[in-house]
Amino acid sequence: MPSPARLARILQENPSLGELYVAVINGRPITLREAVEMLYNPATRPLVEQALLKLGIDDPWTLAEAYYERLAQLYPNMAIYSLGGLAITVREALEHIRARDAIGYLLVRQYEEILRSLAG
Amino acid sequence: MPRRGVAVVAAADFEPATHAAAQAIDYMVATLERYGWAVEYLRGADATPENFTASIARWDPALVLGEGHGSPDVFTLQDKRVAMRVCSAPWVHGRAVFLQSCETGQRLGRDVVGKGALAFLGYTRDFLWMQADASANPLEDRLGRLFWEPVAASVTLIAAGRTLDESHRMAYSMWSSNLDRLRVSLDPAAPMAMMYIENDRQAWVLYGDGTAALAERAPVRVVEEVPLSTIALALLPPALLAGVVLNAEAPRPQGH
Repeated sequence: MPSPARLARILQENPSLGELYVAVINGRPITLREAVEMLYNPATRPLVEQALLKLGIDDPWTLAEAYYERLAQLYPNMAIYSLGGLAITVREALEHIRARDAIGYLLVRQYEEILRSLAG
Repeated sequence: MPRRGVAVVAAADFEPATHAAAQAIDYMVATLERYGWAVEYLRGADATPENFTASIARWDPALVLGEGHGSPDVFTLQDKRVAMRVCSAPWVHGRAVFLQSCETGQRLGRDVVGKGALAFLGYTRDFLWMQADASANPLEDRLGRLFWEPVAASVTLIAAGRTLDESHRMAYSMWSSNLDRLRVSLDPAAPMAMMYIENDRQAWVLYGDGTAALAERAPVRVVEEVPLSTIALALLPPALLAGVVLNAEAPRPQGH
């Protein structure tokens, strides 16, 4: 598990990563920014440490769904394209993730890659 | 001998991804023309494999630019009809082939250079991008431009007679600059955009003769607003700064 200091440093150097959902605590996905704040609170630190043990890798579907749900709320017309055949909106991406189909699996794997880069 | 300052461009446009991409190709064609290039542009329904090869035979271009779906061995145009495949593109000899497509850099790109193409520009993985507005021209979209401006800039440098090495390096540099911008952004879309830009940047390849230039050298004007991070990164010869793609002036017409 990345140390609190390392996570704080990652957040400081890469503010954009603060918006990623990295753990589920009491059934609620939390972002990296929230996680770092909770780590520095003695009351919540044990909870976050436990949840960060695998940096959410054990529950990527929940975290990816939370992330895409947020994107879909903020940017309903946002799209992801490729010149290999992918053409979906973030709403459609969210539906694929919820359906746990082949495209959903690819999207969650992509999300896992981002999380792994945090884990180092 | 392929003609300098002459290009055949083919852009598929039959579903959302190719429709968006074709709008970016429109801009690149206009850029080539502003620099005095003669361009045969096949778009959408006209972008058939038959028209593609016939145009190349008729125009004898130094540059062949294609946009469509691809895989390691195959490049397709309208309706995913195969336009190029490994071991079957005899027209490549002496030309620069630029495929804005997925994965053709894995094998097709190497194959065309092996068969005598001057050079190949393309990607070894999927070319991925995001757009804040699904229906927008990616070059006019706040997210899409982060992916596509580097591509357009590489074409601008080719149009302006810079070497293929310079063209390749400019796109890489601009993607790097865009990653730096996104890293400090609080936009929730930023992490995903960074992942995709990094994918595209790492997949971007040039094979063959990078010292070749496809036209007479022409001035490229630098625009007023250039991101500081881009300036810092662009330790390149004068005028090779990001943003030129948006305001490059047309020089005198090329002789060809």
